[in-house]
Amino acid sequence: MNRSEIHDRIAELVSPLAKDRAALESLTETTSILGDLKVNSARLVDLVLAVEDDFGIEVDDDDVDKVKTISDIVELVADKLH
Amino acid sequence: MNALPLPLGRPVTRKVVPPVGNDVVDLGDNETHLDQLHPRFLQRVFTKLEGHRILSSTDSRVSLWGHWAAKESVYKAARKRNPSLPFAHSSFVVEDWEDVAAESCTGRIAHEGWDYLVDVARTTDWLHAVALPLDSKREEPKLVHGVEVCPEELDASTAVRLFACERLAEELDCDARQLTITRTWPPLLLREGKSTGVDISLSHHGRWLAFAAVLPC
Ligand SMILES: CC(C)(COP(=O)(O)OP(=O)(O)OC[C@H]1O[C@@H](n2cnc3c(N)ncnc32)[C@H](O)[C@@H]1OP(=O)(O)O)[C@@H](O)C(=O)NCCC(=O)NCCS
Repeated sequence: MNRSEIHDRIAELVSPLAKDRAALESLTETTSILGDLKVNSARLVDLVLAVEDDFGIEVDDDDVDKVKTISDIVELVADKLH
Repeated sequence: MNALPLPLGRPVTRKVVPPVGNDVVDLGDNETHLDQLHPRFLQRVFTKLEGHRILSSTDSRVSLWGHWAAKESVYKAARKRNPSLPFAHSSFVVEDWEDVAAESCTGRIAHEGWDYLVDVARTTDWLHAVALPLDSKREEPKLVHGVEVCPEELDASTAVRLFACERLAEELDCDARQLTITRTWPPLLLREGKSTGVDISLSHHGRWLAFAAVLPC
């Protein structure tokens, strides 16, 4: 799976959890998950679990703590897959 | 206690303001229903004992969000002591928990050598947790907190700041327009741009806004 495919899949997973629909429509690599998309911390846990299931990886809490933007999560998944 | 010198050279003792944390949950939000959560949510966030306590509660949904809010409120307080603290929900273990099916309950969370006491209040609409270090409770800090509906025309971050400033202006005996809360983390309460020494925590979820603050004695 290349970076752009990972990005598209993350965008699909984050879509039902984002509160700010305008930020979702103009999603870029630098979009912040908590700040821009307004994913609250309970939904962030759901996102992490969905990412684990979808890509068949394990993401621990220390990994999550480093994730601020879409690019961070794409990077994290790419690292775990390769 | 810190000794602050007065201009006249007379020392005055001022207690250190303890770090406060708070978290509000909108119980009317569809997201809070157990069937809306990922099947592994409980396992990820809670210890086995907490999970058992939640599932055997008379109201598992309220118990789950009570435990959740307790962890979040302690995280916000603890992070003021350790700004690089990562948030691992399961490392904030709720103990001495009473069943939150009642209107209010308390719990205790031990974290990094500090003990926090969490008070959880609830109505049918919302649940609100306020955490303070246990040792500070003995000194009876001046704690102010509140929960309010978010006006539809304002974004929650702006609205919670206005709400907290209005309530704190009454306590500080000043005009709410003199007060502002920074958008930094942690948020700071300023009076005409200057520090007030008040420790504050903000939260918003769904229709609800909440804050908790400790005033210097
Ligand atoms: C702090 C945090 C726990 C609160 O998120 P939340 O419950 O969605 O939001 P709340 O409304 O209760 O609290 C928001 C307020 O907390 C404060 N806050 C913001 N970032 C914070 C941080 N990193 N640490 C502590 N408090 C923070 C702010 O005052 C904020 O209000 P504002 O946005 O109006 O400025 C969350 O933003 C966070 O950083 N989580 C860490 C990552 C995580 O959850 N990892 C585990 C996933 S498996």
